[in-house]
Amino acid sequence: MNLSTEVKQAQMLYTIFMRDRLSERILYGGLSILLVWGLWELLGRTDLMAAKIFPPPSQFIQSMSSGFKLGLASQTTEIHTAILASVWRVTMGLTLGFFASVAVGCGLAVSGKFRLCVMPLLSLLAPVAPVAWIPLALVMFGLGNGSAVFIVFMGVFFTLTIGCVEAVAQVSTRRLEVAALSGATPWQTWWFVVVPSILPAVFSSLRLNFVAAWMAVLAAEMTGLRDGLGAIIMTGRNLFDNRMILLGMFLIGVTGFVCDQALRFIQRKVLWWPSNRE
Amino acid sequence: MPFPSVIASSPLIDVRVQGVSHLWRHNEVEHLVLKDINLHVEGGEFISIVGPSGCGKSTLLRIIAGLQIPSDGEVLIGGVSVVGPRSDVGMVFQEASLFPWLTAAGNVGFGAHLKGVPAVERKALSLEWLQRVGLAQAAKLYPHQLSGGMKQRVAIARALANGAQVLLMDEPFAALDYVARKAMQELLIELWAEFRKTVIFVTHHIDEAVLLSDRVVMLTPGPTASIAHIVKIDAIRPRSADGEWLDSEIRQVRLLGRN
Repeated sequence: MNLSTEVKQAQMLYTIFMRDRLSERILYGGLSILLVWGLWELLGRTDLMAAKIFPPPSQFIQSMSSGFKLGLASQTTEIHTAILASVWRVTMGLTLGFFASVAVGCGLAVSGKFRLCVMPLLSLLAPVAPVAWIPLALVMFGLGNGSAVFIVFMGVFFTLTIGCVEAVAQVSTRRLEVAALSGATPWQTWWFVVVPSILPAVFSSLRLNFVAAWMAVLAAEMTGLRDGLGAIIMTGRNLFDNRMILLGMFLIGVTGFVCDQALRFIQRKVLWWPSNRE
Repeated sequence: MPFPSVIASSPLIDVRVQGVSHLWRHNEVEHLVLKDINLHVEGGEFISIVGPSGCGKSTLLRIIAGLQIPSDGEVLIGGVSVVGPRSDVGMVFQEASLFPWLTAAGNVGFGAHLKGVPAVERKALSLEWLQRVGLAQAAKLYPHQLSGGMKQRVAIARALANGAQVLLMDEPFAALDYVARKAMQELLIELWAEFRKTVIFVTHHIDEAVLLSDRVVMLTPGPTASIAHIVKIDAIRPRSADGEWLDSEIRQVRLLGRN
């Protein structure tokens, strides 16, 4: 492949991913959502079976209006507590997982032999999907927030720790030399140079793992826990109430999107610098 | 001086390289990179080290900086043997190597921050040094918002703000375009005239070396470098970058280099 084809390909990729301006994205995105919504509403007016299985937004969003409670008898909660419960669980799990894996990862990065012993264990545990921790979590922590936080934590901790050790190994020697020339003690080098160097990389792998963690929390709420967004769906199922099921799905979509945007915001505005360049 | 300076003046420090040789091991094979280098740089002197790429100039500079331990011989800075990086020796690399998460002022004040200098004093110190390198208006900008030349200015300010009495520069202007390079050379001459640091400047541009230095050290071409010639540049300062003296000096140095 000669240079000009490479350049052309790069330009093509560039046009595919970068051309879309924000205003256009909002316009077309909004239009397509409106279109699907409209078709869905039309379908909902018909007598087809599909209309019963997939009640349109006008029907299930209505059920969210004042006084709506979830759950049965004494376990009823309001809808915003369900959203907050799920968001709180995943936030706590991700936060704890992030800080713990940076701390442990840095610790492993300094301790040669210990790292060689621990890394294979981490590599074996990392592929265990967050969902797979649900049964153990329920046994250990019962039907509470502890379980959900544990699931998220275990789901991200091993992957992030491995990522952190790798990120430390990739911190440029030049940065460490600049630190040494500025009179940094080893501890200062870690705190003021290595940690800021690796945070963006570890955080971006946190964002990649968010989806799996989010799904695991919902799955836990569907199988064990009695509250949260996942529980809305299961309650709907038990009551043969498809409106409630779709409401749950809708809220999961919207909340997940908002959370991901929040992570994206942190990535772009707080930990915005490149890991290994100026 | 128009305003009370927070930059303290300090004594001149000399650099003595004594019988430095360096072996580099790679795949079980040993390469002798530097062979018996002896060099005395007076306090406040500006010296350049020239030689073809890959001849060991950078290795020598890194050894002087304490970033590398020589296989043989030693370096004395201010009469004290170098065992590691020290605060009165600053280094400027070809890439500015600024921390991207700190502003220009933050990068300049990094060393002071590590020493626990209170924020107010630190800010005054970094602002004054940024002013000295002509970047007062860029204090709050981050490295990615600066041009290559501006980054190098910050890197020089950082080294000086750290209290460097000896300034080691490893091809600091090699990545800059012609105009930026000329401007940086002028800045460096100005700073050196004002603060009289001991400067060891590595470059592969003979004209740059001649323009800036009191003496030019020419290394033999690799693989094993030793000192071929040391040329004293007698032209009076301030020197002009386009005078005839420069051309003739360069010609002489080039001639020496060929033999």
